[in-house]
Amino acid sequence: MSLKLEIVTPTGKVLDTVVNEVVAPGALGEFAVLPNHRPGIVLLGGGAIRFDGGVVFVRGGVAEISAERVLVLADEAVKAENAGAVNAAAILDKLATETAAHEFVSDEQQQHFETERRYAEAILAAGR
Amino acid sequence: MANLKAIRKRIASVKNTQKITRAMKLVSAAKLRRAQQAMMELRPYAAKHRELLESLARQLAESGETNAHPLLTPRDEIKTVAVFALSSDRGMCGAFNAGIVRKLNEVVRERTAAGQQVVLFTLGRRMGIAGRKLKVLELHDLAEIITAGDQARVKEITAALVKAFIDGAVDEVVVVSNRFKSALTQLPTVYSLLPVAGPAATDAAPSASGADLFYEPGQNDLLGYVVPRFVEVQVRQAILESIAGEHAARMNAMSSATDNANGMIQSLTLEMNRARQAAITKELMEIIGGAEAMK
Repeated sequence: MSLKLEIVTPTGKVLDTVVNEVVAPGALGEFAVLPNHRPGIVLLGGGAIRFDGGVVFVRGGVAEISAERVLVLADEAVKAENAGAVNAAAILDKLATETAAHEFVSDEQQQHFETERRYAEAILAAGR
Repeated sequence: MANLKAIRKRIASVKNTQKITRAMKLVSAAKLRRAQQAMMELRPYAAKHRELLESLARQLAESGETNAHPLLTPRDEIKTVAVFALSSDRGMCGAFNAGIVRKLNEVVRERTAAGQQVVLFTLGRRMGIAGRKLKVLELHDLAEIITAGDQARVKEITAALVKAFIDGAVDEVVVVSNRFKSALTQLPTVYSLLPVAGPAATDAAPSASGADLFYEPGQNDLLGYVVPRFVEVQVRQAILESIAGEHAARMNAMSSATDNANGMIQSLTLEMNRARQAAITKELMEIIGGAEAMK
Protein backbone atom coordinates (compact mmCIF):
# COMPACT_ATOMS: atom_id res chain seq x y z
CA MET A 1 0.00 0.00 0.00
CA SER A 2 1.22 3.45 -0.75
CA LEU A 3 0.59 6.96 0.39
CA LYS A 4 -0.49 9.98 -1.66
CA LEU A 5 1.43 13.14 -0.84
CA GLU A 6 0.01 16.49 -1.91
CA ILE A 7 1.55 19.86 -1.14
CA VAL A 8 -0.66 22.87 -1.87
CA THR A 9 0.23 26.54 -1.44
CA PRO A 10 -1.66 29.77 -2.17
CA THR A 11 0.21 29.98 -5.46
CA GLY A 12 -0.63 26.51 -6.67
CA LYS A 13 0.09 22.85 -6.20
CA VAL A 14 3.75 22.15 -5.59
CA LEU A 15 3.66 18.40 -5.42
CA ASP A 16 1.25 15.56 -6.09
CA THR A 17 2.84 12.16 -5.96
CA VAL A 18 2.66 8.67 -4.51
CA VAL A 19 5.21 7.72 -1.86
CA ASN A 20 5.96 5.06 0.73
CA GLU A 21 6.85 7.29 3.62
CA VAL A 22 6.71 10.97 4.56
CA VAL A 23 8.78 12.71 7.21
CA ALA A 24 7.51 16.18 8.02
CA PRO A 25 8.49 18.97 10.43
CA GLY A 26 5.63 19.32 12.91
CA ALA A 27 5.40 22.38 15.12
CA LEU A 28 6.17 20.11 18.07
CA GLY A 29 8.89 18.14 16.32
CA GLU A 30 9.51 16.00 13.30
CA PHE A 31 7.15 13.11 12.61
CA ALA A 32 6.90 10.31 10.09
CA VAL A 33 3.82 9.01 8.34
CA LEU A 34 3.44 5.53 6.87
CA PRO A 35 0.43 4.22 4.97
CA ASN A 36 -2.58 3.48 7.18
CA HIS A 37 -1.68 6.15 9.66
CA ARG A 38 -4.35 7.23 12.09
CA PRO A 39 -6.16 10.26 10.61
CA GLY A 40 -5.38 13.61 12.14
CA ILE A 41 -4.42 17.21 11.66
CA VAL A 42 -0.96 18.48 12.50
CA LEU A 43 0.41 21.99 12.63
CA LEU A 44 3.67 22.28 10.71
CA GLY A 45 6.70 24.37 11.48
CA GLY A 46 9.39 25.26 8.99
CA GLY A 47 11.82 22.80 7.47
CA ALA A 48 12.07 19.94 5.04
CA ILE A 49 9.42 17.41 4.12
CA ARG A 50 11.23 14.23 3.05
CA PHE A 51 9.75 11.40 1.07
CA ASP A 52 11.38 8.51 -0.78
CA GLY A 53 14.50 10.50 -1.55
CA GLY A 54 12.68 13.71 -2.47
CA VAL A 55 12.71 16.90 -0.45
CA VAL A 56 10.36 19.90 -0.34
CA PHE A 57 11.01 22.84 1.98
CA VAL A 58 7.97 24.33 3.69
CA ARG A 59 7.58 27.59 5.54
CA GLY A 60 4.89 26.66 8.03
CA GLY A 61 1.49 25.24 7.34
CA VAL A 62 -0.82 22.46 8.35
CA ALA A 63 -1.01 18.80 7.33
CA GLU A 64 -4.09 16.64 7.09
CA ILE A 65 -3.29 12.98 7.48
CA SER A 66 -5.54 10.13 6.52
CA ALA A 67 -4.92 6.42 5.97
CA GLU A 68 -4.02 6.83 2.33
CA ARG A 69 -3.10 10.48 1.97
CA VAL A 70 -1.04 13.30 3.44
CA LEU A 71 -2.26 16.72 2.40
CA VAL A 72 0.02 19.63 3.25
CA LEU A 73 -1.36 23.16 3.14
CA ALA A 74 1.82 25.19 3.24
CA ASP A 75 2.20 28.96 3.44
CA GLU A 76 5.09 28.59 1.09
CA ALA A 77 6.79 25.52 -0.33
CA VAL A 78 9.71 25.00 -2.65
CA LYS A 79 11.11 21.84 -4.16
CA ALA A 80 14.74 21.02 -3.40
CA GLU A 81 15.79 21.52 -7.02
CA ASN A 82 14.35 25.05 -7.00
CA ALA A 83 15.58 25.97 -3.55
CA GLY A 84 18.60 27.74 -4.99
CA ALA A 85 16.31 30.63 -5.87
CA VAL A 86 15.47 31.20 -2.21
CA ASN A 87 17.80 33.58 -0.44
CA ALA A 88 17.92 31.75 2.87
CA ALA A 89 20.75 33.89 4.22
CA ALA A 90 18.60 36.99 3.74
CA ILE A 91 15.76 35.37 5.70
CA LEU A 92 18.13 34.67 8.57
CA ASP A 93 19.49 38.22 8.47
CA LYS A 94 15.99 39.67 8.55
CA LEU A 95 15.12 37.34 11.39
CA ALA A 96 18.14 38.47 13.37
CA THR A 97 17.17 42.14 13.11
CA GLU A 98 13.54 41.33 13.92
CA THR A 99 14.36 39.33 17.02
CA ALA A 100 16.76 42.04 18.13
CA ALA A 101 13.99 44.62 17.78
CA HIS A 102 11.63 42.71 20.07
CA GLU A 103 12.43 42.74 23.73
CA PHE A 104 9.43 40.65 24.67
CA VAL A 105 8.19 38.05 22.29
CA SER A 106 4.75 36.48 22.39
CA ASP A 107 4.36 32.74 21.94
CA GLU A 108 2.92 33.31 18.52
CA GLN A 109 5.81 35.44 17.38
CA GLN A 110 8.25 32.99 18.89
CA GLN A 111 6.65 30.25 16.83
CA HIS A 112 6.79 32.39 13.70
CA PHE A 113 10.49 33.13 14.24
CA GLU A 114 11.17 29.47 14.85
CA THR A 115 9.38 28.49 11.62
CA GLU A 116 11.33 31.04 9.61
CA ARG A 117 14.63 29.98 11.14
CA ARG A 118 14.09 26.27 10.53
CA TYR A 119 12.97 26.90 6.97
CA ALA A 120 16.06 28.96 6.15
CA GLU A 121 18.41 26.61 7.93
CA ALA A 122 17.02 23.55 6.18
CA ILE A 123 17.61 25.18 2.81
CA LEU A 124 21.10 26.26 3.76
CA ALA A 125 21.96 22.79 5.05
CA ALA A 126 20.73 21.20 1.84
CA GLY A 127 22.69 23.65 -0.28
CA ARG A 128 25.97 22.73 1.30
CA MET B 1 -22.97 68.77 -46.48
CA ALA B 2 -19.89 68.85 -44.27
CA ASN B 3 -16.76 69.77 -46.09
CA LEU B 4 -14.40 67.11 -47.33
CA LYS B 5 -11.34 68.11 -45.37
CA ALA B 6 -13.13 68.08 -42.01
CA ILE B 7 -14.47 64.60 -42.64
CA ARG B 8 -11.04 63.29 -43.62
CA LYS B 9 -9.64 64.69 -40.40
CA ARG B 10 -12.31 63.04 -38.34
CA ILE B 11 -11.69 59.68 -39.98
CA ALA B 12 -8.00 59.97 -39.20
CA SER B 13 -8.71 60.79 -35.56
CA VAL B 14 -11.18 57.92 -35.16
CA LYS B 15 -8.60 55.60 -36.66
CA ASN B 16 -6.07 56.76 -34.10
CA THR B 17 -8.50 56.21 -31.28
CA GLN B 18 -9.18 52.76 -32.62
CA LYS B 19 -5.49 51.96 -32.56
CA ILE B 20 -5.38 52.88 -28.90
CA THR B 21 -8.47 50.90 -27.94
CA ARG B 22 -7.20 47.88 -29.83
CA ALA B 23 -3.85 48.05 -28.05
CA MET B 24 -5.58 48.41 -24.68
CA LYS B 25 -7.72 45.41 -25.45
CA LEU B 26 -4.68 43.27 -26.21
CA VAL B 27 -2.90 44.43 -23.07
CA SER B 28 -5.95 43.68 -20.95
CA ALA B 29 -6.30 40.24 -22.51
CA ALA B 30 -2.72 39.40 -21.55
CA LYS B 31 -3.17 40.76 -18.03
CA LEU B 32 -6.44 38.91 -17.68
CA ARG B 33 -4.78 35.64 -18.48
CA ARG B 34 -2.20 36.18 -15.74
CA ALA B 35 -4.75 37.37 -13.20
CA GLN B 36 -7.03 34.46 -13.95
CA GLN B 37 -4.21 32.02 -13.46
CA ALA B 38 -3.34 33.48 -10.07
CA MET B 39 -7.00 33.15 -9.15
CA MET B 40 -7.16 29.53 -10.24
CA GLU B 41 -4.01 28.63 -8.36
CA LEU B 42 -5.48 29.84 -5.11
CA ARG B 43 -8.67 27.84 -5.47
CA PRO B 44 -7.57 24.39 -4.28
CA TYR B 45 -5.79 25.93 -1.31
CA ALA B 46 -8.87 27.93 -0.39
CA ALA B 47 -11.16 24.93 -0.79
CA LYS B 48 -8.95 22.77 1.43
CA HIS B 49 -8.80 25.43 4.11
CA ARG B 50 -12.56 25.65 4.16
CA GLU B 51 -12.78 21.87 4.54
CA LEU B 52 -10.27 21.89 7.35
CA LEU B 53 -11.99 24.73 9.13
CA GLU B 54 -15.35 23.03 8.86
CA SER B 55 -14.04 19.77 10.21
CA LEU B 56 -12.40 21.56 13.14
CA ALA B 57 -15.47 23.64 13.87
CA ARG B 58 -17.68 20.57 13.72
CA GLN B 59 -15.47 18.72 16.16
CA LEU B 60 -15.56 21.63 18.55
CA ALA B 61 -19.32 21.97 18.23
CA GLU B 62 -19.71 18.27 18.99
CA SER B 63 -17.58 18.55 22.08
CA GLY B 64 -19.92 21.34 23.12
CA GLU B 65 -17.32 24.07 22.97
CA THR B 66 -18.56 27.45 21.87
CA ASN B 67 -16.50 30.63 21.61
CA ALA B 68 -13.58 28.49 20.51
CA HIS B 69 -12.02 31.32 18.58
CA PRO B 70 -12.82 35.04 18.71
CA LEU B 71 -13.06 35.26 14.92
CA LEU B 72 -15.71 32.52 14.88
CA THR B 73 -17.95 34.10 17.49
CA PRO B 74 -20.84 36.21 16.24
CA ARG B 75 -21.64 39.33 18.24
CA ASP B 76 -25.04 39.58 19.91
CA GLU B 77 -25.62 43.11 18.76
CA ILE B 78 -24.18 44.71 15.69
CA LYS B 79 -23.56 48.39 16.26
CA THR B 80 -20.76 49.02 13.84
CA VAL B 81 -20.07 47.24 10.60
CA ALA B 82 -16.88 47.39 8.57
CA VAL B 83 -17.35 47.39 4.82
CA PHE B 84 -14.37 46.31 2.75
CA ALA B 85 -14.98 47.59 -0.77
CA LEU B 86 -12.84 46.83 -3.80
CA SER B 87 -12.63 48.56 -7.17
CA SER B 88 -10.03 49.10 -9.84
CA ASP B 89 -7.43 51.85 -9.90
CA ARG B 90 -8.17 53.10 -13.37
CA GLY B 91 -11.25 53.64 -15.46
CA MET B 92 -11.95 52.58 -19.02
CA CYS B 93 -13.48 49.32 -17.88
CA GLY B 94 -17.14 49.75 -18.63
CA ALA B 95 -19.62 49.48 -15.79
CA PHE B 96 -17.17 47.60 -13.57
CA ASN B 97 -16.65 50.41 -11.09
CA ALA B 98 -20.04 52.04 -11.46
CA GLY B 99 -21.74 48.77 -10.54
CA ILE B 100 -19.70 48.17 -7.44
CA VAL B 101 -20.02 51.77 -6.24
CA ARG B 102 -23.79 51.51 -6.63
CA LYS B 103 -23.72 48.32 -4.56
CA LEU B 104 -21.64 50.02 -1.90
CA ASN B 105 -24.06 52.94 -1.70
CA GLU B 106 -26.88 50.46 -1.29
CA VAL B 107 -25.12 48.62 1.52
CA VAL B 108 -24.23 51.81 3.36
CA ARG B 109 -27.80 53.09 3.04
CA GLU B 110 -29.25 49.83 4.32
CA ARG B 111 -26.90 49.59 7.26
CA THR B 112 -27.41 53.20 8.22
CA ALA B 113 -31.17 52.74 8.02
CA ALA B 114 -30.81 49.77 10.37
CA GLY B 115 -29.16 52.06 12.89
CA GLN B 116 -25.66 50.71 12.37
CA GLN B 117 -22.56 52.76 11.87
CA VAL B 118 -20.30 52.04 8.97
CA VAL B 119 -16.52 51.94 8.90
CA LEU B 120 -15.34 51.86 5.33
CA PHE B 121 -12.17 50.25 4.06
CA THR B 122 -11.54 50.99 0.40
CA LEU B 123 -9.11 49.25 -1.89
CA GLY B 124 -8.55 50.62 -5.37
CA ARG B 125 -8.27 54.28 -6.29
CA ARG B 126 -11.76 54.55 -7.77
CA MET B 127 -13.26 53.22 -4.57
CA GLY B 128 -11.17 55.66 -2.58
CA ILE B 129 -12.75 58.52 -4.53
CA ALA B 130 -16.25 57.09 -4.17
CA GLY B 131 -15.74 56.47 -0.45
CA ARG B 132 -14.91 60.11 0.22
CA LYS B 133 -18.38 61.10 -0.96
CA LEU B 134 -20.12 58.80 1.49
CA LYS B 135 -21.08 59.68 5.01
CA VAL B 136 -19.44 57.04 7.16
CA LEU B 137 -18.03 56.84 10.66
CA GLU B 138 -14.47 56.23 9.52
CA LEU B 139 -12.78 55.90 6.18
CA HIS B 140 -9.62 53.90 5.69
CA ASP B 141 -8.15 54.23 2.23
CA LEU B 142 -6.03 51.17 1.56
CA ALA B 143 -4.70 52.75 -1.63
CA GLU B 144 -4.32 50.96 -4.90
CA ILE B 145 -5.37 47.42 -5.65
CA ILE B 146 -2.91 46.61 -8.38
CA THR B 147 -0.12 45.60 -5.99
CA ALA B 148 -2.53 44.07 -3.49
CA GLY B 149 -2.08 40.56 -4.86
CA ASP B 150 1.27 40.01 -3.19
CA GLN B 151 1.54 38.17 0.05
CA ALA B 152 2.75 41.09 2.16
CA ARG B 153 -0.09 43.44 1.16
CA VAL B 154 -2.71 40.74 1.64
CA LYS B 155 -1.39 40.11 5.15
CA GLU B 156 -1.42 43.83 5.91
CA ILE B 157 -4.98 44.32 4.71
CA THR B 158 -6.22 41.22 6.53
CA ALA B 159 -4.48 42.33 9.70
CA ALA B 160 -6.21 45.72 9.52
CA LEU B 161 -9.66 44.10 9.13
CA VAL B 162 -9.05 41.46 11.79
CA LYS B 163 -7.71 44.03 14.23
CA ALA B 164 -10.81 46.19 13.88
CA PHE B 165 -12.96 43.14 14.63
CA ILE B 166 -10.88 41.80 17.52
CA ASP B 167 -10.55 45.20 19.18
CA GLY B 168 -14.31 45.47 19.12
CA ALA B 169 -14.25 48.58 16.95
CA VAL B 170 -16.58 46.76 14.56
CA ASP B 171 -18.94 43.82 15.12
CA GLU B 172 -19.06 42.51 11.60
CA VAL B 173 -17.00 42.75 8.44
CA VAL B 174 -18.59 42.51 5.00
CA VAL B 175 -16.95 42.54 1.60
CA VAL B 176 -18.35 44.45 -1.36
CA SER B 177 -16.57 43.35 -4.50
CA ASN B 178 -16.95 42.09 -8.02
CA ARG B 179 -17.12 38.32 -8.25
CA PHE B 180 -15.47 36.93 -11.33
CA LYS B 181 -18.13 34.72 -12.90
CA SER B 182 -16.60 34.55 -16.34
CA ALA B 183 -14.61 36.77 -18.65
CA LEU B 184 -17.94 38.28 -19.73
CA THR B 185 -19.70 38.76 -16.42
CA GLN B 186 -18.55 40.27 -13.18
CA LEU B 187 -21.14 40.30 -10.47
CA PRO B 188 -21.13 42.99 -7.77
CA THR B 189 -21.56 40.95 -4.60
CA VAL B 190 -21.85 41.51 -0.87
CA TYR B 191 -20.79 38.79 1.52
CA SER B 192 -19.77 38.41 5.11
CA LEU B 193 -16.10 37.99 6.04
CA LEU B 194 -16.09 38.18 9.83
CA PRO B 195 -17.18 36.53 12.01
CA VAL B 196 -16.24 33.45 10.04
CA ALA B 197 -19.37 31.45 9.37
CA GLY B 198 -19.14 27.98 10.86
CA PRO B 199 -20.25 24.90 8.94
CA ALA B 200 -23.71 25.30 7.46
CA ALA B 201 -26.45 24.22 9.84
CA THR B 202 -27.85 21.83 7.24
CA ASP B 203 -24.51 20.10 7.04
CA ALA B 204 -25.46 17.50 9.61
CA ALA B 205 -23.72 14.52 8.07
CA PRO B 206 -20.31 14.11 9.66
CA SER B 207 -17.48 13.60 7.25
CA ALA B 208 -15.89 10.19 6.93
CA SER B 209 -12.70 11.39 8.54
CA GLY B 210 -14.61 13.11 11.31
CA ALA B 211 -14.69 10.08 13.56
CA ASP B 212 -11.39 9.73 15.30
CA LEU B 213 -9.02 12.50 14.37
CA PHE B 214 -5.99 13.35 16.42
CA TYR B 215 -4.81 16.92 16.70
CA GLU B 216 -1.29 18.07 17.24
CA PRO B 217 -0.96 20.43 19.04
CA GLY B 218 -4.46 20.86 20.52
CA GLN B 219 -7.59 21.82 18.62
CA ASN B 220 -7.43 25.37 19.87
CA ASP B 221 -3.88 25.89 18.66
CA LEU B 222 -4.84 24.52 15.29
CA LEU B 223 -7.88 26.77 15.11
CA GLY B 224 -5.59 29.64 16.02
CA TYR B 225 -3.64 28.85 12.88
CA VAL B 226 -6.43 27.87 10.50
CA VAL B 227 -8.98 30.61 11.20
CA PRO B 228 -6.79 33.67 10.53
CA ARG B 229 -5.33 31.87 7.53
CA PHE B 230 -8.80 31.24 6.22
CA VAL B 231 -9.72 34.91 6.53
CA GLU B 232 -6.52 35.82 4.72
CA VAL B 233 -7.32 33.41 1.92
CA GLN B 234 -10.76 34.94 1.52
CA VAL B 235 -9.34 38.46 1.37
CA ARG B 236 -6.78 37.31 -1.16
CA GLN B 237 -9.46 35.65 -3.23
CA ALA B 238 -11.59 38.79 -3.23
CA ILE B 239 -8.60 40.84 -4.38
CA LEU B 240 -7.59 38.43 -7.12
CA GLU B 241 -11.14 38.11 -8.40
CA SER B 242 -11.54 41.86 -8.49
CA ILE B 243 -8.30 42.30 -10.40
CA ALA B 244 -9.19 39.58 -12.89
CA GLY B 245 -12.67 41.06 -13.26
CA GLU B 246 -11.24 44.50 -13.92
CA HIS B 247 -9.07 43.25 -16.75
CA ALA B 248 -11.94 41.25 -18.21
CA ALA B 249 -14.25 44.25 -18.04
CA ARG B 250 -11.66 46.49 -19.64
CA MET B 251 -11.01 43.96 -22.36
CA ASN B 252 -14.70 43.84 -23.20
CA ALA B 253 -15.12 47.60 -23.06
CA MET B 254 -12.15 48.13 -25.33
CA SER B 255 -13.31 45.40 -27.66
CA SER B 256 -16.66 47.10 -28.19
CA ALA B 257 -14.98 50.50 -28.45
CA THR B 258 -12.88 49.10 -31.28
CA ASP B 259 -16.00 47.76 -32.98
CA ASN B 260 -17.78 51.09 -32.55
CA ALA B 261 -14.83 52.91 -34.08
CA ASN B 262 -15.08 50.57 -37.04
CA GLY B 263 -18.73 51.46 -37.55
CA MET B 264 -17.97 55.12 -37.21
CA ILE B 265 -15.20 54.94 -39.80
CA GLN B 266 -17.57 53.22 -42.18
CA SER B 267 -20.31 55.81 -41.92
CA LEU B 268 -17.79 58.66 -42.10
CA THR B 269 -16.23 57.15 -45.21
CA LEU B 270 -19.67 56.96 -46.78
CA GLU B 271 -20.32 60.58 -45.91
CA MET B 272 -16.94 61.57 -47.29
CA ASN B 273 -17.59 59.83 -50.59
CA ARG B 274 -20.94 61.52 -50.87
CA ALA B 275 -19.41 64.91 -50.22
CA ARG B 276 -16.71 64.26 -52.80
CA GLN B 277 -19.26 63.14 -55.36
CA ALA B 278 -21.38 66.20 -54.67
CA ALA B 279 -18.37 68.44 -55.22
CA ILE B 280 -17.62 66.75 -58.56
CA THR B 281 -21.23 67.04 -59.67
CA LYS B 282 -21.27 70.69 -58.75
CA GLU B 283 -18.12 71.37 -60.74
CA LEU B 284 -19.52 69.54 -63.76
CA MET B 285 -22.73 71.57 -63.58
CA GLU B 286 -20.69 74.74 -63.52
CA ILE B 287 -18.66 73.68 -66.55
CA ILE B 288 -21.77 72.67 -68.46
CA GLY B 289 -23.47 75.89 -67.40
CA GLY B 290 -20.44 77.86 -68.60
CA ALA B 291 -20.39 76.01 -71.93
CA GLU B 292 -24.11 76.64 -72.45
CA ALA B 293 -23.61 80.34 -71.84
CA MET B 294 -20.90 80.51 -74.55
CA LYS B 295 -23.31 79.29 -77.20
